[in-house]
Amino acid sequence: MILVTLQDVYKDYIMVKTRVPVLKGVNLQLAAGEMACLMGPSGSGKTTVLNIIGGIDFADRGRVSVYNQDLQAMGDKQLSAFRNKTLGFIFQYFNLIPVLTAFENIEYPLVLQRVGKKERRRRVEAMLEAVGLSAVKNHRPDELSGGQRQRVAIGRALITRPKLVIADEPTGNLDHRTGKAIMELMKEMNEKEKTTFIFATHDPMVSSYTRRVLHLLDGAIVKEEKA
Amino acid sequence: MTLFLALRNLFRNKRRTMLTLTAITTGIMALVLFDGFVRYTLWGLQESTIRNGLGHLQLATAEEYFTTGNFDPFSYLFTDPEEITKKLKVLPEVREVIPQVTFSATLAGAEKSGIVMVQAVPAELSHSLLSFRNIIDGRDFTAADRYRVILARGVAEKIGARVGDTLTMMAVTRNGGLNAADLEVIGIASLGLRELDNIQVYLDLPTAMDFLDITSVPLLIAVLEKTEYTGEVQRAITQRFKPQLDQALVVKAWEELADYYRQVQEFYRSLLRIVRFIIMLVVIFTIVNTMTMAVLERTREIGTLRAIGTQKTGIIGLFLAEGFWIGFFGGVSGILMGLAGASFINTVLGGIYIPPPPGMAEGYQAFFEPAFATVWQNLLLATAVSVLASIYPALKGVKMKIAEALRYL
Repeated sequence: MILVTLQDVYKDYIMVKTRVPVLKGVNLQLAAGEMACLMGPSGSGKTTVLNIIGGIDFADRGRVSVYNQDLQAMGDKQLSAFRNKTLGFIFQYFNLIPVLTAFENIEYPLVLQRVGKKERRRRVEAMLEAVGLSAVKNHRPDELSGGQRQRVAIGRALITRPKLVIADEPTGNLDHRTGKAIMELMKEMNEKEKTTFIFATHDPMVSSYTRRVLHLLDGAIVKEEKA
Repeated sequence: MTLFLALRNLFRNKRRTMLTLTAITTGIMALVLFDGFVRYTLWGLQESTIRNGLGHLQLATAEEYFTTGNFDPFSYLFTDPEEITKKLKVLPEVREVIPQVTFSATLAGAEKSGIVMVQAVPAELSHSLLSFRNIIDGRDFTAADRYRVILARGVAEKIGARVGDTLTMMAVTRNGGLNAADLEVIGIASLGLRELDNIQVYLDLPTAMDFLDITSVPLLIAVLEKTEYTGEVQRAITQRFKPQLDQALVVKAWEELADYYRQVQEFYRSLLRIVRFIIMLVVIFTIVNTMTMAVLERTREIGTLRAIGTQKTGIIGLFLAEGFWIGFFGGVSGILMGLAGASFINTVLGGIYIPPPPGMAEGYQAFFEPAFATVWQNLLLATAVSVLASIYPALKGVKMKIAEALRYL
């Protein structure tokens, strides 16, 4: 089943009155259960592709379909609900809510879905167990290491059992060993839960965990490698 | 979750939150104290107005009596004042029903004379109606006193009269002739209100009736157990007793007759509104500033919350909830500080001396007595203003595109 389709996607940014093309006709299809990776130098458009797939940025032209939904046609309210239920996000800088504990950070997307308290607790406890953070569940992000924070972010991204997880430089702020452990965890989740992952990275270690690598250069996919 | 998250966010930048809370606390404390001062001052003025001869309710035979009665009391005499008195005294709220004659006269001393307003009530009931009259020289009436007079301080000064002097009073009597009588000054009184101090003199009622050649009175004054009963008793008289009487009856509450009190009340209320407006303006600017800073600092976080599915309204709600908490805590601490300050001034300092306000003859010791209702109004005001002031920063927070917010450093 095709989960993501990008067809002739163009995107320009306006930089002080100058129009800078970022994506120049990107075509991409991603199947359910895949683990794919976008690679390319800074400014090649990796993050923009992820943002467009994630419905947090919009293409100027072209078709964007995720889980059979035309994202370009959705209103803000619909899109927010879609992101909450269908997608999970993992960021380079973890982007955890500093005033919430590890437990509460993971729980937050379920609160948005109005899942009952008991059910929330059960699922969050299980997720904490799965990402190996049960011992520090009541710690706030500033009391956790970089690796632990990214595990919380993974837990938060996966707690709603999303169809697709979008991870932008997930190991960019971690040392090699911790980065590897994080990738192992995501691979395990991919294999166990059949969750689809798409990464943007510079790091060959990250791409080594995926079966498909798409190389971006100046806003276009120039090469595709399959393992 | 929103209120809970907002509460935690409140203490992220403790210093800034404390500064904002201090601004709201100070503003609300000032409002509580000022309100307490105004309330006490108005209460004092209300009671001095009532107990300086106005009473709580005045009963006359015609509406016109209240405009022209002092110059022509004879046209408005009750046919049977005792009947009304008897009926009114049945009400437990009514302490006393006092017959009164008021008329204008000329009072002449050895060298000077002037126009005065004579108020005459039975000597034995005068303490009920004139409890705020302060005899500063001489003595009050006894039941046996006839053709004796008590002068207000301003009148005594103008005429140059002292206790023991004999003055001549001239006024028109019932048959239209001019009558004159010699009166012995037995006391000089301070009334607090300058406009009364300069014009008022007091006689006992039998002397006044004898002098004017009348056998009835044009006015009955009801003094109640508590001022709060005024409206209730006025309704009772109008609805229950008036239809049973053979004579016409008009009932006026003290507030309708106290022009000066109404002006002062309106003045203080306007002042309170202005002070409240200024304080709230300061609160609004402080909160807009605090919230704008919070939104800026948390731009990336807003982006994250939006990315994981929070609706725009959810983000707006989060900042409004933060505004709610700031306003609520600021309001509560402001009220507590205000009440503590009022208690300190009232009990430790024994009030604050206020010099004579415009129109008053004497200064007074002011106490601060905030009303329970106003205290809650201030809390509501602080919270509402705080929430409203958070709208603009909150809208600014959700205006940014999610992708841009996530890139924000």
